[in-house]
Amino acid sequence: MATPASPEPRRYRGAVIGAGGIARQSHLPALRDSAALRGRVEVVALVDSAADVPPVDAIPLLGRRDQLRDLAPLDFIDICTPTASHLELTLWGLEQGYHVVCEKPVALTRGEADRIAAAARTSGRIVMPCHQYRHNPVWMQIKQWLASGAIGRWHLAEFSVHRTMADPGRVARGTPWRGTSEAGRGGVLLDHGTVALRISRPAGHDVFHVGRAGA
Amino acid sequence: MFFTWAARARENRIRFVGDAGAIEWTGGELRLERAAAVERFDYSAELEKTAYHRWFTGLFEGFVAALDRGDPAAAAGPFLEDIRRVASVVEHAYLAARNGTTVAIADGA
Repeated sequence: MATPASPEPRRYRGAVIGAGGIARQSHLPALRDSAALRGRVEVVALVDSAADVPPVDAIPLLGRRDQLRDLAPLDFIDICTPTASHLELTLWGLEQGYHVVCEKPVALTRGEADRIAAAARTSGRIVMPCHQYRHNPVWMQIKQWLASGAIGRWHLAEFSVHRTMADPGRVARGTPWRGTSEAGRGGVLLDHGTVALRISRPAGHDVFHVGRAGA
Repeated sequence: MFFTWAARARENRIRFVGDAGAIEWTGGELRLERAAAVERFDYSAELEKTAYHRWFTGLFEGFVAALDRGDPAAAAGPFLEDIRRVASVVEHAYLAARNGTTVAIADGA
């Protein structure tokens, strides 16, 4: 007896906000080129208000986010802008009824996190932080070893990230935005630090004391 | 944890030490030391910047799976907790830096 065919899985329509390095090198290739996602996600627009944004093949470039209304229905926005705009864009997206994917860090204080949580609850939408490092193959192997007891009961974890400068992003001239308080809202802690904070938790390690080197 | 943008050279180093061995990740090499033997694994290619998008593929697959559940409130919970937990540590870290002291983070803060 023939079995009924499974319904086609839904394809979600989204827009990427911010056309800098992380959008071009990581988000867009993942969303558009991966076999697993190609049939499930459609990127219908790229939004960036900068004057000199190079186009991306086959994706309409919009200068203003309110133009997204013309592309309705839209399921989600993917925020790839500098840190200073994450909170405002996330709240805006939820208010419009979009699900939100946002580059890290999404919030810098518990108060900001609580505002986002309240807005997500009110709108019935999801906000997912881009903690992609948990899919890093090295980290996945480390987690597997720790979980299987490969080194027994562990008692010390050290994370050390050395860079000669902040990642300059797409515009590799002048001061990288990550290094400015206006756009970055902080320093290296908000960049590499949020990665380490996030991945240390599944390893069973919780940060319980913090300080500044040399303090 | 130690992070800097003012280093003389680029380097990543993560180390776990246990009562039966150690794991060390330096640059593109991952090393497992146990029972007086050392195994080395080369991950250089997987860690190239051009390979980053594969990590994002896993991330977005999780996002699509969360949307497929059709229950945003349930799906959002772990993500929102994740956002708050990171924000809490960041907030405490900046407080510690401002005050020049070490700050304890209470459970659930």
